[in-house]
Amino acid sequence: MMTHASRGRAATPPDHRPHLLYVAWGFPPCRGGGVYRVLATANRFARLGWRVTVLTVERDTFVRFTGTDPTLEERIDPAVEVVRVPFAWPIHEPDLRQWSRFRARFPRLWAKLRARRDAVPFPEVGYGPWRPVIEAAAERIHAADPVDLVLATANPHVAFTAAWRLHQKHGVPYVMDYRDAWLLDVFSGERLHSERSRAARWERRLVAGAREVWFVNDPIRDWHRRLYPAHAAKMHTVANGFDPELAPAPTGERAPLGEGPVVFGYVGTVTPRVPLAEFVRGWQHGRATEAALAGAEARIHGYLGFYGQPRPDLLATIEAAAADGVSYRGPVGKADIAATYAQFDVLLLILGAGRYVTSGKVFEYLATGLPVVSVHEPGNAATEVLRGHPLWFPVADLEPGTVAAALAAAADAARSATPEQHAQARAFGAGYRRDLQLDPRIEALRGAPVTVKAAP
Amino acid sequence: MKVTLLGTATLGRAQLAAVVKDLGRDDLELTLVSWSAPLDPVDDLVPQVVVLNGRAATAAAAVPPAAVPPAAAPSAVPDASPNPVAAPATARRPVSRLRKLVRQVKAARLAAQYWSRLRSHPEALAAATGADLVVVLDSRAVRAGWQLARRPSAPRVLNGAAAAGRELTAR
Repeated sequence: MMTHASRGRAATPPDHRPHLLYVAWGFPPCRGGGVYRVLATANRFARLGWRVTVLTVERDTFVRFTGTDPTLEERIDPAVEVVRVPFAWPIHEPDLRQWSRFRARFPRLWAKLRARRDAVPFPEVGYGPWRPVIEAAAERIHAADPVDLVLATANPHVAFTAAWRLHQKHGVPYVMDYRDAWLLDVFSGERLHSERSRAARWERRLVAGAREVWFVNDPIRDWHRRLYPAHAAKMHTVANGFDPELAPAPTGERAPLGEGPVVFGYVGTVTPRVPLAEFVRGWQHGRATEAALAGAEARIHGYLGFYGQPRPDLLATIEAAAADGVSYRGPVGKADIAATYAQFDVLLLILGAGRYVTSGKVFEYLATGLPVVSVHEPGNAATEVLRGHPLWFPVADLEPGTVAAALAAAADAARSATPEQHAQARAFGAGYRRDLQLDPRIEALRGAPVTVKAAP
Repeated sequence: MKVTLLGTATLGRAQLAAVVKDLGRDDLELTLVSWSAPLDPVDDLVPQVVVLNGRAATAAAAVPPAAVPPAAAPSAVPDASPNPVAAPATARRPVSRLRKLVRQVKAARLAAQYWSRLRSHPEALAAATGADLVVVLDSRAVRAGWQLARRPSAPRVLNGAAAAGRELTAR
């Protein structure tokens, strides 16, 4: 059953604005990192004069399985029509009354067999069975109100199938938006699926038929350009950016720091990939050798590891440097983000190696206009984002002396930066507002000729 | 509200604290029906603990607290694993097929024993059938949870503390 959650579109007379069908599995109230890009994209298309219909899953899916953030649902532009269709996710069904005897007796075997079955309609475990549901829904939407463009966002990649269906049957152009990558492991840089796999064959077909293909950063885009050189021109980077209404406010003019101790801050999840130990060694070296770091503090906010309880090894690394001013402050709630950033003089961008990974934290940091110390390999995708920031202090390697020098330089900058430099940093960050990343592509799509066959 | 937890693992304090945190409410009357006694004193977290395997209960007190992985993941999408208190993946030696088979057989045997003991243990059965919600904490307790869920007057039985937390929040 298809449910519409229109905010008044039904009563409005038909108009000549282009109609966008936006296929996105994770749409508010879904709680998760990728949902911010999805929400911002739907809203931005609507604000730039498109009639937007979002095809997504029923709210109950998020209530039952992923958790919800109702505040995100409130941020959906009232002009956006949301069509919700069912999504079965039996692998996550927690109600044991719904389980078969076989599943209860052999849960792991059941999961293995179910994964194989899921991949029959589409090669994506867990999501494959959604294909016929969204294809049918897209057909119904197009029949009722012809679609001029389909934008499908992955993952899950099954979202592309609705776009493919309208393209094949009715010639509707479509855009593929990758928030991650399908064939590329963005952490290792390895290829995930062989050239002859079903996933690879699907992607080849989809890329060949797409009007545009969007990626979140240049390294991922370039990897795909090399993979599909004939279609390189249609591949674009639409960076994530920050949402002004959700990001920490720019710090504005601050009283001079003087000679007081500098407070360094980190906000985010510290995973085992994050070079925390290298940072701590560099910090301790700096505290011992650099006058600029005298009395300085490093406050680590966020989760230590992927779980609610801090990982003992990561916590021990921090606590071992407590005497040198390093402390763990726990996770930060949304309501406390602004107050937390307000305590910092310098931001610590401690990231794991990953040529293809741009952390969302980078954009949040840029929004503040504060000096940023990069404690990550220069090859990290964040380097390209930060290049040109007037108060950016990168490291060439993670040796203690190198990290200490960057920290000391940032501390000096926090004390001595001119109002003009602060203004430049804020202006640099403002360039990464998410809407500014989307606008050029939306304008280009609006200007492109749309060839749509009449719906039957 | 009465909530009964079913688990076969030897839980430490950190694990149980994570479970309680996942449940997300402080007005719950918690009972743990466990195969073996918790590693640490957990009276303040779970006031009532029913131990089904008597031998382990007497020996458990001497075991020092372990650094155990917690259960609450901040991840938006729940783990596909049917074991909701599974430890995060770490680098391990490849496991042979035979070893896997042995593990599976042992797990199945424990699952059967757990259910058998639970249904013949009056206190445990009362705690399970008299609860408003039963939460299965690991895959070996699924069988017992499923058997309970089939009873006509059974309470709702959910797999995983995170799912139970979402259910309790929605209630």
